[in-house]
Amino acid sequence: MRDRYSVAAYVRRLARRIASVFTGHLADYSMSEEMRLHIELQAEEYVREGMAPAKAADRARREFGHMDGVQETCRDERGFPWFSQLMQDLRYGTRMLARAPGFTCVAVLTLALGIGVNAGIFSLMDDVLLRQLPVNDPSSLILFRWASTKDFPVPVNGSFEVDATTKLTACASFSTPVFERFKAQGRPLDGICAYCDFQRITIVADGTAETVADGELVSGDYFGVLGVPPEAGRAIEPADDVKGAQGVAMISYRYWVRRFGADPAVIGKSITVNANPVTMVGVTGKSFTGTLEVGDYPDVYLPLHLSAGMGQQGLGEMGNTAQLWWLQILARPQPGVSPSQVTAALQGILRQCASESLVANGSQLPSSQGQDLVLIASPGGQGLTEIRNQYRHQLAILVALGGSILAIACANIANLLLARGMARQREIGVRLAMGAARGRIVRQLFTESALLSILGGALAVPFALWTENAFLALHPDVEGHTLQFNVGLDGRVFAVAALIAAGTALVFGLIPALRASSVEVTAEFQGGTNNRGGGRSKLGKVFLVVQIALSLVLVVGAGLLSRTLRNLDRVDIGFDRENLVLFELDPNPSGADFDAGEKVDRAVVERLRSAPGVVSATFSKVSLLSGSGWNAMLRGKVGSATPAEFKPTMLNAVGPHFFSTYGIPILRGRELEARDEGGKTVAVINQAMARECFGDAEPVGQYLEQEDEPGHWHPILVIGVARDAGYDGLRRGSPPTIYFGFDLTRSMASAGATFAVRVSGNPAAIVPLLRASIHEAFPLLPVSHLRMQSTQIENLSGNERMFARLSLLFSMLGVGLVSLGLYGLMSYSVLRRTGEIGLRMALGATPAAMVWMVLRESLLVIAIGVGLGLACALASVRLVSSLLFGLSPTDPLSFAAGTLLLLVVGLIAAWIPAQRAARLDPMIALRTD
Amino acid sequence: MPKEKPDLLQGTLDLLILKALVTGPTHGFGVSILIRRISGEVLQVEQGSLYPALYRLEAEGWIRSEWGVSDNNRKAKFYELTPAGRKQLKAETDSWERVSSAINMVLRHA
Repeated sequence: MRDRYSVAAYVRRLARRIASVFTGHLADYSMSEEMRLHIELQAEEYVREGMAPAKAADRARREFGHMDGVQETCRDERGFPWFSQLMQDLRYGTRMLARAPGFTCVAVLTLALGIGVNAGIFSLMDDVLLRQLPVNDPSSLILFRWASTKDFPVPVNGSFEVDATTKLTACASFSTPVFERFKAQGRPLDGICAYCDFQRITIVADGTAETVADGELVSGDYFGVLGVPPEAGRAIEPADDVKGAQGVAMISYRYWVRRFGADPAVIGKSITVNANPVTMVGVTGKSFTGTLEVGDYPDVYLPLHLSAGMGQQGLGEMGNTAQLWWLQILARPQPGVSPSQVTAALQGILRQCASESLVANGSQLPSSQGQDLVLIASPGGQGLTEIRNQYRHQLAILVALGGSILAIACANIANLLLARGMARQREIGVRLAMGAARGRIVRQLFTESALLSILGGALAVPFALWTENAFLALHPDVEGHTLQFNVGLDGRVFAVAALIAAGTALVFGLIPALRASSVEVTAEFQGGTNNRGGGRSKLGKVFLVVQIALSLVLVVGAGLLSRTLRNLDRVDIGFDRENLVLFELDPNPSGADFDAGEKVDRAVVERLRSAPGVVSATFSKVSLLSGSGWNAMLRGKVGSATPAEFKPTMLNAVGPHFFSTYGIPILRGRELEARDEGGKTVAVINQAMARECFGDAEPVGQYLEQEDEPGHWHPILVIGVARDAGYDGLRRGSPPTIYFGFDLTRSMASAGATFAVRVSGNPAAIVPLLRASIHEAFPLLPVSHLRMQSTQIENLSGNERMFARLSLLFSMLGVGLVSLGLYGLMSYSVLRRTGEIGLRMALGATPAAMVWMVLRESLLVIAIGVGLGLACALASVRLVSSLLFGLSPTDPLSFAAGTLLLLVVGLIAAWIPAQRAARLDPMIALRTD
Repeated sequence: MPKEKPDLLQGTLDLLILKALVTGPTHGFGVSILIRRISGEVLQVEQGSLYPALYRLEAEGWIRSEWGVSDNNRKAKFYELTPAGRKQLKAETDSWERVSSAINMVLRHA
């Protein structure tokens, strides 16, 4: 039996609907014909029954009912009514929007900005916080860390971070013996590999030297464990990571394109990495960016065993990797094995190695101290996460900013739509009277909003890209760490933009659509627009209040951040930052011959000082105000009294003419001179240190003590006191600082001094001469990282600058939208109350009183908005308090200025249209319908 | 014009139309006259429901339409049962009888 509800029946119906899409219009004509005939026949029957022909025809027609309605119902059986309705809505919506180009442009642009900024922020968040490593099955990877409850004084190259689960301070660096023994253990692990960050490598290919920012040393099975196939050539294999094996290297896809133009012939070529010859065997996958901290993109990968020949500078301060804890370890557990089982199995090995390490380092502590180490297995899917976590805060602020501006934009458009809805009362009334269902009208109005959202979303993409680029261009550094990304169009950016667009359409489109369609037909046709404005006004006012509140928050935020920026720019750094050119020379790539490197530095300085346009030149290990530093524990030894406590001190090793080049005056004693070098240990300290260690006593001639190894310290003679100067950051002020001569720190320094040259005149003109001069004398030492001191200092406040600019821009937008909104509200109010105003004026009210009556409406809105805004601002400044400098989060000046600005703008925006009330001619007003 | 009809009524209307066409092809007006006359003026089919039903039945393939000339020489669209429609008529009639006798039993139960 053919059941009408069976699947076959459904398919049949569907097929016919599809077919009728193509034949539809033919059927329309025949349908009207058919129905006309029906009416005629019916009329004839009535005539036969004795009715008058005219009356019969009338009755037949009336009985048939609404022909169009019937035809509609018939048509619904054909084709896909929902689809044709949608098409209809879209066509109609497009026409309506095209008829109001001003409104459409404003709405679309506002939306594009709001959606774009938020999509860009999401994309950044995704790249920084959410994205997993582009490796095979990242979620099963484990990154090992260790934590110790007691001191563990072995050389460690890595940073410490509080582990979220165990609350201990953990480090992700292990020693080579630990890695090898973990690997030998086999069982709970399916694969294990190790790697280490390696910076400032000099690569010589085709005779040209180039310094590459980042590289990675990897164990032989690194690429195997991660499961990342190479883009070209082959990956580094376990056979390559054996002592005595021929040196190989892999380069990143990016580097391959940039340096070699993606030339496949490059595979197999020999290059020199830090003076070590290696063969390039492959190129890593296009999307593979290594497993280092977020934003670090290694350009070359080398096997671990080559580390011995790589030179000291890349590995930090420790040369001998046998005793160094320097490797990060990633592992994959066997299927079914949990991370805690892995740590239980390997913990013992770690502790054994730790004990041996203590002994090998000549530590005075008992080797049993190694037993306090705890092995932690953290999820490795994102690689190292320390820097990543520090971006969280910044991105949270960005999300708040972006969300606010989007909310303001939506509120504005909702208000505009409400107003348009009011204007279309008549049209909607007619449609309702003709039999349209309310739902149908709501759907159609909502489609218009959706159209706006779609257009806004489409235009949002360039805004999204702009947001990402702006974020990166303003160098938001975390601890001197710069982000590098592939900024670009991504499926996810599109998807997020679309989602946000859909969300905004719902938010700002639905309520006005519902409101607009609730028209009472009869009241409408009796000319009742005037008295019905109340409902719309109230809702519109709510939107305005929200807008005002959010704008106030933005304005206050902008004020706080801008003032912070100004405070930072005004910090007294203690030296002259103008016309100071900084650069580094990539030194002797092997770095082992340190003496030679330092002699070269001196020779360079001498050469520079004789160059034209140069006032003075020097070099120092730590570049002032660069975000990085060097510290140790020192204490003052006043006579032979009981030694004081060791205090944390900042160190710097400086070359000749340091103080005169930077413009730091020596207040007592003298500068470091040539005769000091190679001799006893002497140093210059700054005022802060003098105060710390010696109080009010005369520091020159006193001794300081520095601890080299546990229990062993050497004395240092103070020969001069320099004025306080900035060290690594603007916010820290001037910490206690000690300046040594360069050669005296041989045991602790790695090469790579920063040169500083004070020039007279235009730096841009002199720099090329400097380069030429150096190249002439030292052709194998490329000048790298050339910059001005003033720019370096500016970069320190890159974060604050970015936020200040963004919040300023957004707050101006917000205020602009608010004034538009208030203007609109007041205009409408005057229009609505024209009759009332005319009546009052005719009865004797003064124009001024009328203006005040109209204005009163908006004052309440502004007052509530500002009040709400202040409350929100007070609650939310906590979010940015860590960025502020030199002012408290509840800085009265910023709050007062912000409130005042909004009040003034609001009043002006409301006052201008309110003036229209004063200019009304009562006679005309009274006659207005 | 109500667009949604309760399923029961829709099914019943379809049944009546199919039955009306069993005697031979006729146009829409003719169908409504037939149903009215045979039911003794009890069942008056609204045009608003008649034509959509006719179109739906045609879409299902149970009736077929053709333009022809009516008895007073006017162009009219005639509908006629298809073989599939005949089968459907029998099925629906059986179903109807089953359901209505069941309802009767329930109503007569004391």
